[in-house]
Amino acid sequence: MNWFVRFYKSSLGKKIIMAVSGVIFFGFVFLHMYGNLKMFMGTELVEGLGVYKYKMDIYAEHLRTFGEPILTYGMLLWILRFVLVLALVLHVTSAVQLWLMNNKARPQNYANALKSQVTTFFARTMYYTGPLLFLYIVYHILHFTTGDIHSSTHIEGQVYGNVYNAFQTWWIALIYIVAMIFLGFHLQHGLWSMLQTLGINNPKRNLWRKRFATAFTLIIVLGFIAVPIGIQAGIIPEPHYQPNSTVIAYHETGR
Amino acid sequence: MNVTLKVWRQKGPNQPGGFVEYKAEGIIGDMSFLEMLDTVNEGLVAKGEPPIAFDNDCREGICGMCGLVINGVPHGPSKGTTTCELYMRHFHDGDTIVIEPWRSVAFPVMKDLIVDRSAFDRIVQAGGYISCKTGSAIEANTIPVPKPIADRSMDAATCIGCGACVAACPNGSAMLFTSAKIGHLNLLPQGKPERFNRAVHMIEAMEAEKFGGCTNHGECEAACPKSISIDFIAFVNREYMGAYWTADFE
Repeated sequence: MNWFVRFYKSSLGKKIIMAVSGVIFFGFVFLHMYGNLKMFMGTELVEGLGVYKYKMDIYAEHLRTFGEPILTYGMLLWILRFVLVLALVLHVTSAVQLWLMNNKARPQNYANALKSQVTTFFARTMYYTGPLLFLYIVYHILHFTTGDIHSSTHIEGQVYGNVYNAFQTWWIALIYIVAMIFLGFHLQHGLWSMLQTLGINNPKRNLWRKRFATAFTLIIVLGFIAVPIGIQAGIIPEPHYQPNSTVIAYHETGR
Repeated sequence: MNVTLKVWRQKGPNQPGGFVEYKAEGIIGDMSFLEMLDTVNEGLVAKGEPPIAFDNDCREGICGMCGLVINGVPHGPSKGTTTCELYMRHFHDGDTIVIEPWRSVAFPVMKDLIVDRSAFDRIVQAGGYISCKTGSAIEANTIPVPKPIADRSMDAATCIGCGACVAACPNGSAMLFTSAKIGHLNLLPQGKPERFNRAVHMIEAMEAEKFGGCTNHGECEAACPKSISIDFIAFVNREYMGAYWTADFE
């Protein structure tokens, strides 16, 4: 039997694949959260052009020019998208297969339900937060990446403006905030769990694994929801773009 | 004290079962849970009814035969204790106690509270041993074993194979049992030569028995009468990855 087929057939193989794809998602959401915080940083004078641009827009453009000239325009972004889609396919397929397998392990359930001793709310809701996050990812891509949902205010390139306009609507802001709370639930168990599955464990220093999970869950969730809250609270200023440009800010100075 | 029992009764394998209520009267706190059941059974025998069938042997917490799900908790409410070492003083007069057998596809109910745990034997047969020449025992200190490693190995070797980990797991996984059995050998020099074969073969044997997979809830560790840590599951995950990394297994 091919070694990979044998590895994948085992529950441990699937779990290791889930953990490795989980590491990829963890890196992704952390960097995504970091990039989003550019929303708070206003504008910047572009040297040589003598115009102001929103730092968020510069950052978004930089993701496309990153690595030039070795990479071509937008290449890094497409490589990342490919890796993320592959990781998502593997993560979801493994999760569904493990779920089906685990469902068969106790055909006759306890007549008097088992009482949980130590498992957490976050661990028990992984099977719900996972599919909810999947739906959210589809919604989020259709909204901000392709601009197909809430498209009336979507202008390609005006990342700052698009985010600002979307989160002006309270219920869109709410959808994103709720989705990020679900992400937090998933991360709280997932971050610790991926370390356990990958065997990153030392009985003498295991406390830090739960601390790591809690700390990064809080950093990621708070970092993400800061943007919709910042816009709803009026901390992030209204965008002003030059009428004849999709990227140049109207402001002459920062903010 | 007097307690009411709701006991799972089932005539035989693959037969329908259900809870039957019994009164256990005149119970003293210093009786073990199994002695309380003995008392009820004596009453049943005197009335000409079939006694409640349950597994037990040593009654001192070392054999792994006993095991009942008591009020939704395998081995009942006291931590790190087998059913035989659970005392009635942990209950109160007038309590209703619900008793059920382990539930797992790999542990078919044979009668009442007795399940067939030979699936565990087949997992051990897949690699839970070391291959060596028998004969007279060699001098004990021929192969040095560092004390912390010997201690960790012994922590895993305390597994009595009762199956509470499977019973407690939301997924009916046998990962704690299997990892304890792999772990206590793979940690020691004597177990190292076959470590990768052992890890892969025993995991595959576990899956062949249709046990579920681990989702890191930690319920097994909480139910384990020997309080074996899920650290051993992480350890075995590492051994399993090592096996595929080196490809040194069959």
